[in-house]
Amino acid sequence: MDEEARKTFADEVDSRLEDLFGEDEKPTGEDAPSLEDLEIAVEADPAEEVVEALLGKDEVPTAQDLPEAEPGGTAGETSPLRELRSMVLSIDWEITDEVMGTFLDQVESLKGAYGQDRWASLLLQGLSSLGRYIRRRKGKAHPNSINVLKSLYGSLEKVVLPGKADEDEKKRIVARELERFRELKKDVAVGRGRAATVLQRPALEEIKEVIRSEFAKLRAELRSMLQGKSD
Amino acid sequence: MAFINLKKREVQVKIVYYGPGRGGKTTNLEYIYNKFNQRIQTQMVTIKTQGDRTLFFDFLPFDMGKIKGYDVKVQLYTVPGQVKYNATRKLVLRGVDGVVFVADSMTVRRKHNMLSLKNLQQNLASYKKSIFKVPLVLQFNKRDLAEQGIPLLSLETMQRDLNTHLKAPTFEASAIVGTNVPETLKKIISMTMLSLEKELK
Ligand SMILES: Nc1nc2c(ncn2[C@@H]2O[C@H](COP(=O)(O)OP(=O)(O)OP(=O)(O)O)[C@@H](O)[C@H]2O)c(=O)[nH]1
Ligand SMILES: [Mg+2]
Repeated sequence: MDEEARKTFADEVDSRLEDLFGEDEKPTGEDAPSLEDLEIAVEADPAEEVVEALLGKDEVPTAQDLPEAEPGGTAGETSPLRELRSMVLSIDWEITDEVMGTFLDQVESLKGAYGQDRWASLLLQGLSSLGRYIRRRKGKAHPNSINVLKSLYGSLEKVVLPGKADEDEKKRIVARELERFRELKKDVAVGRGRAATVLQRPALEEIKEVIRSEFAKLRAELRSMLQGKSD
Repeated sequence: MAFINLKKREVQVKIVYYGPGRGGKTTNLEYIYNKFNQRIQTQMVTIKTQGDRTLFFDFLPFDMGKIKGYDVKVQLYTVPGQVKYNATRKLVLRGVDGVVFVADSMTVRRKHNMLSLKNLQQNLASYKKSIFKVPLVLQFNKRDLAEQGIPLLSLETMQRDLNTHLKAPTFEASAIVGTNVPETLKKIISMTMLSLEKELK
């Protein structure tokens, strides 16, 4: 290989490496950490007093302000809450535009149903901004975002289903959720998150395949070593 | 030897991060994953015990796209550094094309670095590979700890301990902050690719 061709090859490799791992200008578009979705309109400091100050103690909805209670105090088969729960569960497995679109529709319809409830509407805001963020990033969403989403949903149930929590408890629940939400937002901003192992199914299959074939080779290697072939 | 499929025009390049336990191998890969996963579009597999020690290996594959008409696929692995896992270490080294040796700059780890490098040499030899010939980059990790007043080996000492004979390229780094982590990676890939060039007709 002459010097000229060699140089071209090295250049080609280096420029590709620069594309992939170079320190670049500010990330833009697709690459941006997409924080804009992660907003809750009320910039709430999650401390209990602050939430209280923000919302006003006497503005806290009372039982009769709440929408119709579910029959028997649980989410009925067809209630939007129930549907949302199954959506939340499926997001664990599959993040597609379709799933996320339905999820966001559900959240919207719950906003209609529980919009009067201050606590619920904060949680719903969280669900919808996080949902939009996940829809955009899909498999690339922060590994912890699904956990936060589930937790927000769990708290929503506690807050809206009658008899699950009293006012003080609700306040505490919402404050804790806002805190988690803020933590996540910070992590997304700095690209932090040690558990880098949220796997989408196709990727998981691919990796399993590589590992499987790697192990097949290793087993063969071991066998030949055991048979005393190599050292 | 890299897996080269002339017909499909595909090359698989295997890079292994080697070094003493707790030296920062996994942290290197985590930084790369967290920082670049949007560009390299991949997933990372990591198998750890509760105390964050690598149990088996970490694995981060990605595509580099076409180079010289070949689809280049890179696989990054780490080995478990703990002495007792030598069998796994040896297995992970199988078919390696390039090695990053992550040394721990903490003074108390001086001996661990040297033993681990020796261990690398032996394990490579078991595959009839020479540590002097395999593409190799040395990373002197955890330099950030100096700021916290933690005693670190001087660069001269590390060079003398580890690199007198190898004369490999070296980087001072902080895997946790990310300093020189991409540089280390770029260097090893580029050295490895050059070493494979002859095979890519
Ligand atoms: N201050 C500092 N800490 C680091 C750095 N790199 C790694 N660490 C820390 O050192 C510890 C061990 O890092 P790992 O990346 O797990 O080390 P490893 O080489 O993979 O260890 P094994 O899997 O046991 O072989 C972790 O607590 C890291 O956070 C660094 O550059 N600076
Ligand atoms: Mg490790």
